[in-house]
Amino acid sequence: MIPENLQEIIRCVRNGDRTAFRKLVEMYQQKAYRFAFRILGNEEEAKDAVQESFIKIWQKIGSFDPSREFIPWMYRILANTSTDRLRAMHRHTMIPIDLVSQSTGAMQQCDPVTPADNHELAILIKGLAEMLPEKQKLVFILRDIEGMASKEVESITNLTEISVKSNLYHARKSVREQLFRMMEKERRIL
Amino acid sequence: MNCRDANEILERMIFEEVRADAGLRKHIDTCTACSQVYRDTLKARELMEMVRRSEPVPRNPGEITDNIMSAILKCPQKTPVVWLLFQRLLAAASVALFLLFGYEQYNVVKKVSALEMQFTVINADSRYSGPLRLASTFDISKAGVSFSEIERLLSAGKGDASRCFSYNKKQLVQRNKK
Repeated sequence: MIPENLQEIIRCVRNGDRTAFRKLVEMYQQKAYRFAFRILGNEEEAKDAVQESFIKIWQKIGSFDPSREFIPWMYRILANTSTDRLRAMHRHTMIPIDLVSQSTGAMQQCDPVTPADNHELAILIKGLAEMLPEKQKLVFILRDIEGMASKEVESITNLTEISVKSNLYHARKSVREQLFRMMEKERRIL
Repeated sequence: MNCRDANEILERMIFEEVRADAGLRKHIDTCTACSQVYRDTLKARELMEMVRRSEPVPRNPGEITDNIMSAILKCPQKTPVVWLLFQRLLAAASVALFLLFGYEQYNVVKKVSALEMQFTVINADSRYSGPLRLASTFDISKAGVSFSEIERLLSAGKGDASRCFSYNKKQLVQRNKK
Protein backbone atom coordinates (compact mmCIF):
# COMPACT_ATOMS: atom_id res chain seq x y z
CA MET A 1 0.00 0.00 0.00
CA ILE A 2 1.29 3.47 -0.89
CA PRO A 3 1.49 5.79 2.11
CA GLU A 4 -0.29 9.16 1.87
CA ASN A 5 1.78 11.06 4.40
CA LEU A 6 4.89 12.80 2.99
CA GLN A 7 7.19 11.76 5.83
CA GLU A 8 6.09 8.17 5.45
CA ILE A 9 6.63 8.34 1.68
CA ILE A 10 10.13 9.69 2.22
CA ARG A 11 10.89 6.97 4.74
CA CYS A 12 9.81 4.36 2.17
CA VAL A 13 11.82 6.03 -0.61
CA ARG A 14 14.90 6.01 1.63
CA ASN A 15 14.39 2.25 1.92
CA GLY A 16 14.43 1.95 -1.87
CA ASP A 17 10.66 1.69 -2.43
CA ARG A 18 10.09 2.61 -6.09
CA THR A 19 6.29 2.76 -5.79
CA ALA A 20 6.59 5.35 -3.05
CA PHE A 21 9.04 7.26 -5.20
CA ARG A 22 6.56 7.26 -8.08
CA LYS A 23 4.02 8.76 -5.70
CA LEU A 24 6.54 11.41 -4.66
CA VAL A 25 7.25 12.26 -8.31
CA GLU A 26 3.55 12.56 -9.07
CA MET A 27 3.03 14.79 -6.05
CA TYR A 28 5.75 17.31 -6.87
CA GLN A 29 6.35 16.98 -10.58
CA GLN A 30 4.08 19.86 -11.56
CA LYS A 31 5.54 22.18 -8.92
CA ALA A 32 9.03 21.27 -10.09
CA TYR A 33 8.14 21.75 -13.74
CA ARG A 34 6.61 25.18 -13.11
CA PHE A 35 9.75 26.33 -11.30
CA ALA A 36 12.16 24.90 -13.90
CA PHE A 37 10.11 26.42 -16.69
CA ARG A 38 10.25 29.83 -15.05
CA ILE A 39 14.01 29.59 -14.74
CA LEU A 40 14.68 28.15 -18.18
CA GLY A 41 11.79 29.54 -20.24
CA ASN A 42 11.88 26.45 -22.43
CA GLU A 43 9.54 23.49 -22.25
CA GLU A 44 11.95 20.76 -23.29
CA GLU A 45 14.74 22.05 -21.08
CA ALA A 46 12.33 22.32 -18.15
CA LYS A 47 11.19 18.71 -18.65
CA ASP A 48 14.80 17.53 -18.77
CA ALA A 49 15.67 19.54 -15.66
CA VAL A 50 12.75 17.96 -13.78
CA GLN A 51 13.78 14.45 -14.82
CA GLU A 52 17.41 15.04 -13.91
CA SER A 53 16.44 16.54 -10.55
CA PHE A 54 14.19 13.64 -9.57
CA ILE A 55 16.91 11.16 -10.49
CA LYS A 56 19.28 13.10 -8.22
CA ILE A 57 16.64 13.09 -5.49
CA TRP A 58 16.37 9.32 -5.78
CA GLN A 59 20.13 8.91 -5.58
CA LYS A 60 20.71 11.41 -2.78
CA ILE A 61 17.67 10.76 -0.61
CA GLY A 62 19.96 8.89 1.78
CA SER A 63 21.72 12.16 2.56
CA PHE A 64 18.44 13.97 3.25
CA ASP A 65 17.74 14.61 6.93
CA PRO A 66 14.11 13.45 7.47
CA SER A 67 13.66 15.87 10.37
CA ARG A 68 13.95 18.77 7.92
CA GLU A 69 11.54 20.08 5.29
CA PHE A 70 11.58 18.15 2.03
CA ILE A 71 10.38 20.92 -0.31
CA PRO A 72 13.29 23.37 0.21
CA TRP A 73 15.68 20.44 -0.23
CA MET A 74 13.94 19.48 -3.48
CA TYR A 75 14.03 23.10 -4.66
CA ARG A 76 17.74 23.31 -3.92
CA ILE A 77 18.44 20.34 -6.18
CA LEU A 78 16.07 21.70 -8.79
CA ALA A 79 17.61 25.18 -8.65
CA ASN A 80 21.12 23.79 -9.06
CA THR A 81 20.11 21.55 -11.94
CA SER A 82 18.17 24.32 -13.67
CA THR A 83 20.93 26.91 -13.31
CA ASP A 84 23.47 24.40 -14.64
CA ARG A 85 21.24 23.90 -17.67
CA LEU A 86 20.75 27.63 -17.99
CA ARG A 87 24.50 28.13 -18.03
CA ALA A 88 24.81 25.51 -20.77
CA MET A 89 21.98 27.15 -22.74
CA HIS A 90 23.37 30.60 -22.22
CA ARG A 91 25.08 30.93 -25.45
CA HIS A 92 21.90 32.92 -25.18
CA THR A 93 19.54 34.13 -27.74
CA MET A 94 18.24 37.50 -26.62
CA ILE A 95 14.51 37.89 -27.00
CA PRO A 96 13.64 41.05 -28.93
CA ILE A 97 11.44 43.37 -26.92
CA ASP A 98 8.82 43.58 -29.72
CA LEU A 99 8.27 39.86 -29.43
CA VAL A 100 7.74 40.18 -25.68
CA SER A 101 5.12 42.90 -26.17
CA GLN A 102 3.30 40.75 -28.74
CA SER A 103 3.34 37.72 -26.49
CA THR A 104 1.80 39.63 -23.58
CA GLY A 105 -1.14 40.54 -25.79
CA ALA A 106 -1.70 36.91 -26.70
CA MET A 107 -1.36 35.80 -23.09
CA GLN A 108 -3.82 38.27 -21.66
CA GLN A 109 -6.61 36.44 -23.44
CA CYS A 110 -6.12 33.08 -21.79
CA ASP A 111 -5.76 32.13 -18.16
CA PRO A 112 -4.71 29.69 -16.74
CA VAL A 113 -1.91 28.86 -19.14
CA THR A 114 -2.39 25.75 -21.20
CA PRO A 115 0.49 23.89 -22.91
CA ALA A 116 -0.27 25.78 -26.10
CA ASP A 117 0.32 29.09 -24.34
CA ASN A 118 3.63 27.99 -22.88
CA HIS A 119 5.38 29.57 -25.82
CA GLU A 120 3.97 33.05 -25.05
CA LEU A 121 4.72 32.66 -21.36
CA ALA A 122 8.23 31.50 -22.17
CA ILE A 123 8.82 34.60 -24.25
CA LEU A 124 7.50 36.87 -21.52
CA ILE A 125 9.52 35.22 -18.75
CA LYS A 126 12.65 35.15 -20.86
CA GLY A 127 12.09 38.74 -21.87
CA LEU A 128 11.76 39.79 -18.25
CA ALA A 129 14.56 37.77 -16.76
CA GLU A 130 16.92 37.47 -19.73
CA MET A 131 19.23 40.21 -18.63
CA LEU A 132 19.38 39.12 -15.01
CA PRO A 133 22.50 37.40 -13.74
CA GLU A 134 21.99 33.86 -12.46
CA LYS A 135 21.70 34.64 -8.74
CA GLN A 136 19.40 37.61 -9.27
CA LYS A 137 17.19 35.55 -11.53
CA LEU A 138 16.95 32.72 -9.01
CA VAL A 139 16.19 35.02 -6.09
CA PHE A 140 13.66 37.00 -8.14
CA ILE A 141 11.78 33.90 -9.31
CA LEU A 142 11.74 32.28 -5.89
CA ARG A 143 10.71 35.43 -4.04
CA ASP A 144 8.57 37.44 -6.44
CA ILE A 145 7.15 34.80 -8.75
CA GLU A 146 6.96 31.68 -6.59
CA GLY A 147 6.11 33.88 -3.61
CA MET A 148 8.44 32.19 -1.14
CA ALA A 149 9.47 33.73 2.18
CA SER A 150 12.94 35.26 2.45
CA LYS A 151 14.10 32.53 4.84
CA GLU A 152 13.13 29.83 2.34
CA VAL A 153 14.96 31.67 -0.44
CA GLU A 154 18.06 31.89 1.75
CA SER A 155 17.91 28.19 2.49
CA ILE A 156 17.42 27.15 -1.15
CA THR A 157 20.04 29.45 -2.62
CA ASN A 158 22.54 29.17 0.24
CA LEU A 159 22.79 32.96 0.25
CA THR A 160 22.87 35.25 3.27
CA GLU A 161 19.97 37.53 4.14
CA ILE A 162 21.91 40.57 2.91
CA SER A 163 22.85 38.86 -0.32
CA VAL A 164 19.24 37.84 -0.99
CA LYS A 165 18.07 41.42 -0.35
CA SER A 166 20.73 42.91 -2.57
CA ASN A 167 20.12 40.44 -5.42
CA LEU A 168 16.39 41.03 -5.18
CA TYR A 169 16.86 44.80 -5.23
CA HIS A 170 18.96 44.70 -8.39
CA ALA A 171 16.70 42.13 -10.06
CA ARG A 172 13.58 44.21 -9.37
CA LYS A 173 15.28 47.30 -10.71
CA SER A 174 16.18 45.52 -13.96
CA VAL A 175 12.76 43.91 -14.34
CA ARG A 176 11.01 47.22 -13.73
CA GLU A 177 13.18 48.91 -16.36
CA GLN A 178 12.46 46.09 -18.79
CA LEU A 179 8.71 46.31 -18.14
CA PHE A 180 8.77 50.06 -18.64
CA ARG A 181 10.65 49.64 -21.90
CA MET A 182 7.87 47.30 -22.99
CA MET A 183 5.25 49.94 -22.14
CA GLU A 184 7.23 52.55 -24.02
CA LYS A 185 7.36 50.28 -27.06
CA GLU A 186 3.63 49.63 -26.80
CA ARG A 187 2.92 53.37 -26.65
CA ARG A 188 5.01 53.96 -29.75
CA ILE A 189 3.10 51.25 -31.64
CA LEU A 190 -0.24 52.78 -30.63
CA MET B 1 4.83 64.00 -1.54
CA ASN B 2 7.64 64.57 -4.03
CA CYS B 3 8.45 62.66 -7.25
CA ARG B 4 11.12 60.56 -5.56
CA ASP B 5 8.75 59.29 -2.86
CA ALA B 6 6.06 58.69 -5.45
CA ASN B 7 8.45 56.61 -7.57
CA GLU B 8 9.46 54.55 -4.58
CA ILE B 9 5.83 53.64 -3.85
CA LEU B 10 5.18 52.97 -7.53
CA GLU B 11 8.09 50.54 -7.65
CA ARG B 12 6.77 48.68 -4.60
CA MET B 13 3.38 48.52 -6.28
CA ILE B 14 4.79 46.25 -8.99
CA PHE B 15 6.42 43.71 -6.73
CA GLU B 16 4.66 43.93 -3.39
CA GLU B 17 1.09 44.10 -2.20
CA VAL B 18 1.12 47.87 -2.03
CA ARG B 19 -1.76 49.99 -3.27
CA ALA B 20 -1.79 53.63 -4.26
CA ASP B 21 -2.65 55.78 -1.24
CA ALA B 22 -4.32 59.21 -1.11
CA GLY B 23 -0.97 61.06 -1.02
CA LEU B 24 0.23 59.31 -4.15
CA ARG B 25 -3.03 59.93 -5.99
CA LYS B 26 -2.86 63.63 -5.12
CA HIS B 27 0.71 63.85 -6.42
CA ILE B 28 -0.16 61.97 -9.61
CA ASP B 29 -3.03 64.38 -10.32
CA THR B 30 -0.62 67.28 -10.39
CA CYS B 31 2.56 65.73 -11.85
CA THR B 32 2.49 64.75 -15.54
CA ALA B 33 5.70 62.67 -15.43
CA CYS B 34 4.59 60.65 -12.41
CA SER B 35 1.15 60.25 -13.90
CA GLN B 36 2.73 58.47 -16.91
CA VAL B 37 4.90 56.34 -14.61
CA TYR B 38 1.75 55.46 -12.65
CA ARG B 39 -0.05 54.23 -15.76
CA ASP B 40 3.00 52.19 -16.77
CA THR B 41 3.27 50.81 -13.25
CA LEU B 42 -0.32 49.58 -13.34
CA LYS B 43 0.35 47.74 -16.62
CA ALA B 44 3.65 46.35 -15.32
CA ARG B 45 1.86 45.14 -12.22
CA GLU B 46 -0.73 43.39 -14.39
CA LEU B 47 2.02 41.60 -16.29
CA MET B 48 3.73 40.54 -13.10
CA GLU B 49 0.44 39.20 -11.77
CA MET B 50 -0.04 37.31 -15.01
CA VAL B 51 3.36 35.66 -14.67
CA ARG B 52 2.64 34.82 -11.02
CA ARG B 53 -0.77 33.32 -11.77
CA SER B 54 0.38 31.37 -14.78
CA GLU B 55 0.71 27.64 -14.29
CA PRO B 56 2.88 26.29 -17.09
CA VAL B 57 1.86 22.69 -17.68
CA PRO B 58 4.00 20.10 -19.46
CA ARG B 59 2.44 18.59 -22.57
CA ASN B 60 2.71 15.04 -21.33
CA PRO B 61 3.26 14.80 -17.56
CA GLY B 62 2.90 11.00 -17.60
CA GLU B 63 5.87 10.76 -19.94
CA ILE B 64 8.08 12.65 -17.47
CA THR B 65 7.09 10.28 -14.65
CA ASP B 66 7.74 7.21 -16.82
CA ASN B 67 11.12 8.54 -17.94
CA ILE B 68 12.13 9.18 -14.34
CA MET B 69 10.96 5.75 -13.21
CA SER B 70 12.82 3.94 -15.98
CA ALA B 71 15.98 6.03 -15.38
CA ILE B 72 16.13 5.18 -11.68
CA LEU B 73 16.25 1.47 -12.51
CA LYS B 74 19.75 2.11 -13.87
CA CYS B 75 20.75 4.46 -11.03
CA PRO B 76 21.40 2.76 -7.72
CA GLN B 77 20.37 4.66 -4.64
CA LYS B 78 23.15 5.80 -2.35
CA THR B 79 22.29 4.40 1.07
CA PRO B 80 22.80 6.53 4.22
CA VAL B 81 25.89 4.44 5.08
CA VAL B 82 27.42 5.08 1.67
CA TRP B 83 26.64 8.79 2.04
CA LEU B 84 28.23 8.92 5.47
CA LEU B 85 31.31 7.19 4.14
CA PHE B 86 31.38 9.47 1.12
CA GLN B 87 31.13 12.57 3.31
CA ARG B 88 33.91 11.34 5.63
CA LEU B 89 36.15 10.57 2.66
CA LEU B 90 35.43 13.97 1.18
CA ALA B 91 36.32 15.65 4.48
CA ALA B 92 39.55 13.65 4.77
CA ALA B 93 40.49 14.48 1.18
CA SER B 94 39.84 18.19 1.84
CA VAL B 95 42.13 18.18 4.89
CA ALA B 96 44.85 16.32 2.97
CA LEU B 97 44.66 18.78 0.07
CA PHE B 98 44.69 21.74 2.46
CA LEU B 99 47.85 20.45 4.16
CA LEU B 100 49.55 19.66 0.86
CA PHE B 101 48.85 23.05 -0.71
CA GLY B 102 49.47 24.84 2.58
CA TYR B 103 52.97 23.31 2.76
CA GLU B 104 53.64 24.14 -0.88
CA GLN B 105 52.48 27.70 -0.34
CA TYR B 106 54.66 28.04 2.74
CA ASN B 107 57.73 26.98 0.74
CA VAL B 108 56.91 29.40 -2.06
CA VAL B 109 56.46 32.30 0.37
CA LYS B 110 59.71 31.41 2.10
CA LYS B 111 61.65 31.35 -1.17
CA VAL B 112 60.06 34.56 -2.44
CA SER B 113 60.81 36.32 0.84
CA ALA B 114 64.44 35.31 0.63
CA LEU B 115 64.67 36.54 -2.96
CA GLU B 116 62.98 39.82 -2.11
CA MET B 117 65.37 40.36 0.72
CA GLN B 118 68.36 39.72 -1.54
CA PHE B 119 66.95 42.10 -4.11
CA THR B 120 66.49 44.74 -1.44
CA VAL B 121 70.02 44.37 -0.25
CA ILE B 122 71.63 44.28 -3.70
CA ASN B 123 69.69 47.37 -4.78
CA ALA B 124 70.57 49.27 -1.65
CA ASP B 125 71.42 52.42 -3.55
CA SER B 126 68.30 52.60 -5.63
CA ARG B 127 65.21 54.35 -4.40
CA TYR B 128 62.02 52.34 -4.20
CA SER B 129 59.14 52.12 -1.82
CA GLY B 130 55.94 50.28 -1.08
CA PRO B 131 55.28 46.61 -0.43
CA LEU B 132 58.71 45.37 -1.47
CA ARG B 133 60.46 47.53 1.10
CA LEU B 134 57.97 46.57 3.78
CA ALA B 135 58.33 42.91 2.88
CA SER B 136 62.06 43.12 3.05
CA THR B 137 61.92 44.90 6.41
CA PHE B 138 59.78 42.18 7.77
CA ASP B 139 61.55 39.30 6.12
CA ILE B 140 65.20 40.04 6.87
CA SER B 141 64.90 38.23 10.17
CA LYS B 142 62.80 35.43 8.63
CA ALA B 143 64.72 34.72 5.45
CA GLY B 144 67.51 32.81 7.10
CA VAL B 145 70.25 34.87 5.37
CA SER B 146 73.25 35.23 7.62
CA PHE B 147 73.94 38.49 9.41
CA SER B 148 77.49 38.80 8.03
CA GLU B 149 76.20 38.24 4.52
CA ILE B 150 73.82 41.20 4.81
CA GLU B 151 76.51 43.35 6.32
CA ARG B 152 78.88 42.54 3.48
CA LEU B 153 76.33 43.39 0.81
CA LEU B 154 75.30 46.55 2.56
CA SER B 155 78.76 47.94 2.98
CA ALA B 156 77.72 51.15 1.20
CA GLY B 157 75.05 51.58 3.86
CA LYS B 158 72.82 54.03 1.94
CA GLY B 159 69.23 54.23 0.82
CA ASP B 160 66.04 52.56 2.00
CA ALA B 161 67.51 49.12 2.32
CA SER B 162 70.05 50.51 4.67
CA ARG B 163 67.30 51.87 6.90
CA CYS B 164 65.54 48.52 6.75
CA PHE B 165 68.74 46.88 7.67
CA SER B 166 69.44 49.18 10.61
CA TYR B 167 65.92 48.60 11.86
CA ASN B 168 66.39 44.87 11.75
CA LYS B 169 69.96 44.98 12.90
CA LYS B 170 68.95 45.40 16.52
CA GLN B 171 66.63 42.45 16.30
CA LEU B 172 69.24 40.32 14.55
CA VAL B 173 71.87 41.23 17.10
CA GLN B 174 69.49 40.29 19.89
CA ARG B 175 68.67 37.03 18.17
CA ASN B 176 72.34 36.20 17.65
CA LYS B 177 73.07 36.90 21.31
CA LYS B 178 70.37 34.44 22.32
